Amino acid sequence: MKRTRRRLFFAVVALTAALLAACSNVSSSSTNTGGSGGAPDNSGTTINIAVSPWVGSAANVAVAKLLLEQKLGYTVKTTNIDEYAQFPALSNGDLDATLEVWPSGHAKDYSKYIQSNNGVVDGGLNGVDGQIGWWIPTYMLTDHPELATWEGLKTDAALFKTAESGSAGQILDGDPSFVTYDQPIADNLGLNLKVVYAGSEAAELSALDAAYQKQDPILLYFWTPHWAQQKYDLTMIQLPDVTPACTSAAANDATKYACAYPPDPLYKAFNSDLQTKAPAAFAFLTAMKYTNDDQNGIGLDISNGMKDDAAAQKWIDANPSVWQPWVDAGLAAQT
Amino acid sequence: MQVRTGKPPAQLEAEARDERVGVVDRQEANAWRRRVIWLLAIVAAVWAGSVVFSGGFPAGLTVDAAKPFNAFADWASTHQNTNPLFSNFLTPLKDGVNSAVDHLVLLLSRMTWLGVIALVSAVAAVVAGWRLAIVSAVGFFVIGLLGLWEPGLETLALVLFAMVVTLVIGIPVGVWAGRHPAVDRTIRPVLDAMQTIPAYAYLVPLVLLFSIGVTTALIATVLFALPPAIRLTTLGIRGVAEGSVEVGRAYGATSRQILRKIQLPLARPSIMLGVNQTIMMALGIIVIGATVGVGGLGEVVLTGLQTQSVGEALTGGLGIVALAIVLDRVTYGWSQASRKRRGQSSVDIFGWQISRRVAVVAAVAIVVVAVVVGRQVIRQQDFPTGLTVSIAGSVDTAVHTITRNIGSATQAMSDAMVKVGLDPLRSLLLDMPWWLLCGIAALAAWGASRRWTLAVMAFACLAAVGVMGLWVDAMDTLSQVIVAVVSAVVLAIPIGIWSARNDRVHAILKPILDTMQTMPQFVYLVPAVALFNVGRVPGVIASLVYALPPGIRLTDLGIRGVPAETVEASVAYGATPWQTLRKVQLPLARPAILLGVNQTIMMVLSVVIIAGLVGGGGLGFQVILGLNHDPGLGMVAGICILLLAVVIDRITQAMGQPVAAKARNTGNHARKGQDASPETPTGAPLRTPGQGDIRREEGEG
Repeated sequence: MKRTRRRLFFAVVALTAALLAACSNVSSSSTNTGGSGGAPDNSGTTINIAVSPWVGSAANVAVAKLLLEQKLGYTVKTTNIDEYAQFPALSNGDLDATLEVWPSGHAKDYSKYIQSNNGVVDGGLNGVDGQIGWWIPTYMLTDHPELATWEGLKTDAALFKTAESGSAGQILDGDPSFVTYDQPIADNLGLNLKVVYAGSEAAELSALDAAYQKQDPILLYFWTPHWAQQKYDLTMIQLPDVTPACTSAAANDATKYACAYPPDPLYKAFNSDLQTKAPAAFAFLTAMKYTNDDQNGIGLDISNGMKDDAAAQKWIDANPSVWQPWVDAGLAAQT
Repeated sequence: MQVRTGKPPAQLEAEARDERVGVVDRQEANAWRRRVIWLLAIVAAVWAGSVVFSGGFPAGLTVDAAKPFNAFADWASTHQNTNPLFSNFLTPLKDGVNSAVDHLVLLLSRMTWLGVIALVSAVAAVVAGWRLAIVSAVGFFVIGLLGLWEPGLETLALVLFAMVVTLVIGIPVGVWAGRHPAVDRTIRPVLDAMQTIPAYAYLVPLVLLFSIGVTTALIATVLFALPPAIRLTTLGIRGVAEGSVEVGRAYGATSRQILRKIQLPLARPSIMLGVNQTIMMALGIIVIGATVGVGGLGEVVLTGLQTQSVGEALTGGLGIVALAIVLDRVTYGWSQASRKRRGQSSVDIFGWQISRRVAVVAAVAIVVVAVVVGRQVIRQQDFPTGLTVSIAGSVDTAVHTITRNIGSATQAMSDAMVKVGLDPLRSLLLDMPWWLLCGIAALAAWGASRRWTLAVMAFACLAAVGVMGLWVDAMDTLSQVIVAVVSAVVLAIPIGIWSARNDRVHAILKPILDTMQTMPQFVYLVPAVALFNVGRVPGVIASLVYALPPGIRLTDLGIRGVPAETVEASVAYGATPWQTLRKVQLPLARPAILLGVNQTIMMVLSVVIIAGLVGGGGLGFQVILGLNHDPGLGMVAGICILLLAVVIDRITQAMGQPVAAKARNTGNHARKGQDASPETPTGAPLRTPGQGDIRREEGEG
C-alpha cells in the first residue's frame, strides 16, 4: 500500500513537472493570418464549416476558409463529417455552415431542419450542378456504340452479368443511403438489370477501378461532379428525359419511376444564428457561388496529391473576379 | 459456474476415467453412429420441410420494431435546441468532455515529440520494464516517421480518456457483480448486447443526443470497451480463493476491508488485463469515431478510403497497429509484472538492479529534460517533417500491380464461391419454413446442453428475428457466416497445429496475427473488392482475415498445453507423430479448439457490417442503410445480429463445455493457459477487435 502511495506521489510530481515544462514557454505556434492587408479583425469569431466525405466538398471549404481568413479576418475550423450527421450539428450550432448539400439525398433533412425552422437555414445554391445517372466507361462505346442510350441496354444487358446478379445484368450502386430509382427504372423500361449494392462509395470505386484497368464492362449508378470523373473517362447513358409526367407518376409510388434522374442543384445550409454571430461571414457564404469547372479544377489538383489549401490558393490566385463579389458582400455586412 | 451438463458427476468421472485409460474407440464409434443418425434425420426434415411448406417468415407475424426508435430519433432532432434535458445536461456534458480531450491533446503536443516519446518510454519502463520502454519508443517513433504524429496524439488522447471513463465505471460494476452472482447474471446479457450490436447502429441516435465530435465517439467507445473491463474485474474477484476471504473474515475483517485488502489486490492481474482489453477495444473502433467528426488516425484511414488510396489508408492503419502494439504490450507487461512483482522493490534495467524509487525519479527527470530540450533547444512540437517517409505511393503501385496480375484468378475463385457455396446455402435457408430452422436451432441447443431453457431461448431468439421483419436478411447473413466460419476453421486448425509444433512458425505468425486483428478492416476494403468483385465474397474474406487469429491461437495454445509427459508416453508406446496428434494431442486440446471455433464465429459476426460495406448485403446492409435514413431500422438490424450471435454463442459454448469438464477432471493442464485468459467465469468469450484475449501464451504455457 505504502509503495503504491509513494508511486502515486511520484506520478503526480512527474505530471506537474511535465505540465510546468510544457506551459512555461507559451509561444503559440499558430499563425495569425487575420488582421493583415486591411482585412477586418474577426479573429475572435470561429466559423466551423463541415467537410463532407468527397473532394468537391473539400474544395469548396478550402476556398471559403482561405478567403474568410485572409479577407475577412475570421478564424475558421473545419470538421470532417458524414453528410447525414451534419444536420443535427448544424441545428444545434456545433457547425456553422455546410457548403454542398445534394437535394436528392436530403429531402427529409430539408423538411425536418430547414422548412420547419429547426435551427438551420437554406444558404442558397453554390452554383455547382449535380447530376446522377447510369454511367459506363467510354471505352465500351467503341464495341457497343448503341450503349449511348438506354435502348442499347435492351440487347446488351447480358454484358454486365456477374455472379451476384445471376442471370440479369448488374447495375452497381454504391452507398445504400443514396437515393436511387435504379431498379424501378430498369423494370419499367423492360431492361434485364439487377441492382447490386457495393455497400459503400469506396467499394463501388474500387470495382470501377478494377474493371477499368482490365477494360471490362461495368455499369454504375454514379454522378458528377466527382473527382473520379477526372480520373476515369466515363459516359452517362441517356435515359428517357425527365418530364413532369414521369416525376408526378412516381411521386407517390417510387416503383413507377421510369426516366432519367432530375438535375441536383447543390445548395448551402447554415446554422440559423450565423447571421447574428458573424454577419460578414454569413453574407460572404451566402454570396459564394462558382461553377462545376471551378470545383473540378481544384478537385483534380487535390486528388493528384496537392494539399487542399494549396489547391484552393492556386484557384484563388487565378480567379479574383469570381470571388471578389463574395468578399465585397462580406465587407458590406461588416459593422 | 453455469451448469455444464445434465450428466451426474459420477458418470462424468467414469467417462473421464475411461478416456484416460484410452478405452475410447467403442464409445467413439457409438457416438459417431448417433451423430450420423441425427444428421440424417435433420437433413430429411429440412428436405421435407422445404418441399412441403413454403419458406421464410409469414408477413402477418411481423411487427414494426423500428417505430419506437424512429419516434425517439424524431423527438431528439426536433427538441435538441429547446428541451432542458439538452440545454442543462447533455450539452454541458458534451462541451466539458470535448474541451477536456482537446486540452489533453494540447498538453501532449506542447510536450513536443521528444517529450512525448520520453514520457511514454518512461511510463513503460517503470510499470513494465526497460524492454517495453524500447518497444514504446520505437512504436511512437514509427508513428512519427509515417507522418502521423498529430493524428496519433489525438487518437492517443481519446483512447486514454476512454480508458479512464471505462475503468471508472467498469471496475466498481465488476466488483459488484463479482460479489453478487445475481448482479452478474443480470448484467451478462446487457454486456453481450453492448459488444455485439454494431456501433454503427447506435451512432446516429448518439449524434442526435450529443451532436458530432469527441463525446459521441467516446460514448460509443466506452459502450464497446466496458464489457471486458467489467467481466475481467468480476472474474478476478471471483477467482480469489474462498480460503483467503475466509481467513480475512475469521480475523474479523469487515466486508469493505476484505474487498480492499484481499480481493482487490489478489484480483489485480485480472483487472490489469481488463485495462489492456479496454484499450484494444477502444482502438478497434477508432475508425468509426472518424465518421462523426473526430480527427486522428481513424480520419487518416477514412480519407485514404475516399480517394481510393490504399497506401494512405494503410499508413493510418499502421499507425493504429503501432499504437495498439505499444499500448497492448505495456499494459499486458504491467499486468504480468503486477503478478510477479509482489514484494519486490527493485527494477531490472539492463541487468542492473535499481531500487524502484530511484528508477521513478530517473524516469521523471528524463521526461522533464526531454520536454525542456524539445521546447527550448529543438523548438519543434511536431515530429520533424524532414524525417517522415511516405509509403502511400509505393503501396498504391504495388496494390495495383498485384490486383492487375492476379485479379482474374481471384475473381474466378470468387464467382465459384458464390455459385457453389453462398447461393445454394442461402436458397436452402430461405426455402425452409421459419419454424423448422428455429426448431433445428432448439434441437441443437438441447443436444449440446441437455437444458430445455437453452432450447427455448434459441427458438425464441431466432423467431424474434423473423418477428422484427428481417428474416430474409438474417438468412442471407447466416449463409455468409456459415461459409466464413467453415473456411476459417478449415484453415485455422492446420495452421494452429503447425504453429504448435514449430516454434519458428509460431514466432513468425505472432506479429502477423496481431496485425490481422488490429489493422482496421476499412484498410483492405478497397483491395478486397479489387480482387474479389463487389459482393458477398470480399465480405467473407474480410471476416476470414479477422476471424482466423483466434482459431489459430487457441489451437496452438491447446496443443502446446498438452503435458509433455503425456506426449512422451504415447511416443514411448510407439505411436507415430500422426497418431500422437490424432489420438492424444487433438482430443486433449479439444476444449481450447472448440473455444477457438466459438471465438471465430463471434468474430465473423462482429464484422457483418464490414461485409455490408463491400456488397455483402444482409443485416450489415440494413444497418448501413439505417445509419442515414432510418435509425430505427439500423437499431433493429443490430439487435438481430445480437440475437444470431447469442444463439450461436450459447450453443457452441455448450458443445465445448462437457468436454472441458472432462478434461479438467482428468487433471491435465490443457486449460491452464486459458484460466488466465480473459474468459468470463462461464467461459463466455470476450470479443476483441484488438489483439485477442487468447494470445496470452507467453508467461503461462
